[in-house]
Amino acid sequence: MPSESGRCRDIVSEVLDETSVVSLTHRQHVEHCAECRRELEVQRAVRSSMRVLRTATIEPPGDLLTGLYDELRRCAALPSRRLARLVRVAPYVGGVLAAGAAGAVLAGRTRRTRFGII
Amino acid sequence: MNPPEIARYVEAARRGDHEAFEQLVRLTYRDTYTLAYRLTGNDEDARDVVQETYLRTYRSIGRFRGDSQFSTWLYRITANCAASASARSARHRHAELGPDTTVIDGRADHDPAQYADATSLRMRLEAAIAELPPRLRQVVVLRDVYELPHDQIAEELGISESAAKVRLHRARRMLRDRLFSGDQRHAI
Repeated sequence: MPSESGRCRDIVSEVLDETSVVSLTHRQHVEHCAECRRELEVQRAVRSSMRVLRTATIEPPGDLLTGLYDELRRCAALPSRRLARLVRVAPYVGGVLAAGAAGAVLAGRTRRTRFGII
Repeated sequence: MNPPEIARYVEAARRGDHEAFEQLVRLTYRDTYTLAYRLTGNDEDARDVVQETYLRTYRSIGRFRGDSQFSTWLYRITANCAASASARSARHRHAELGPDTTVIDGRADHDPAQYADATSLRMRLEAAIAELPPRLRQVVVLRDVYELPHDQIAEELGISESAAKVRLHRARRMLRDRLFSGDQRHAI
């Protein structure tokens, strides 16, 4: 069972998130509860501080960029997956097409023979 | 980042211009590394995540329709790669850490002397975020720092939207407790 202050923190966290649908009871509670209003201020301060981090970058290791370029060039040199799949299935597709064509030729001959056209 | 410049390179990269893609990497890798580091909490995993992110981006840039900003798209791929890396390291953690293993925390913030000097809000926040469990850290970073919507966070981390919200509330509570506990109550 969460303590009263723990419950207030949960409600405030819900209120703080603009995308959450907050129940009327919870909204009314926050409006009238001094602890919730205090907690809301604290959590707003934490969140606005978090947004400051968006513009603060962590300096990457010096060799990261060259490593990325190497890896991308290796990847670019490889045939694409779609092309590789095409190369793999091409003989089968060719076989099926050839069999179909042969079948059509044979069927044509049979028809001509049946009608005495040879 | 300069959005018009980015947009020009994105367009060229979509047409298969490899050099344009390299320019995109040059312009964005610092931000990508920063996000990857914040999500994973260490340099080694962050490097792997960045590499995987750009390989995936390279393979799929032709499918980028421009519905969102390129940076948002890149953040989502980074989040997805970090979630996969986190799941992998969770699977191997038991094998790697034996009873006699000494775990050395190499972060500067954990050096007592340096920590005492690190009074700036940013450093305390970074330290508090780094101490969160990975599952909570990922959600709070993506939501409160990068402002990704709940549904996108849930999708990239492979969890439900309600689970993402629960994790967010727990992470915020832990951060608040760490930043405002005891004598640091009026720190911000």
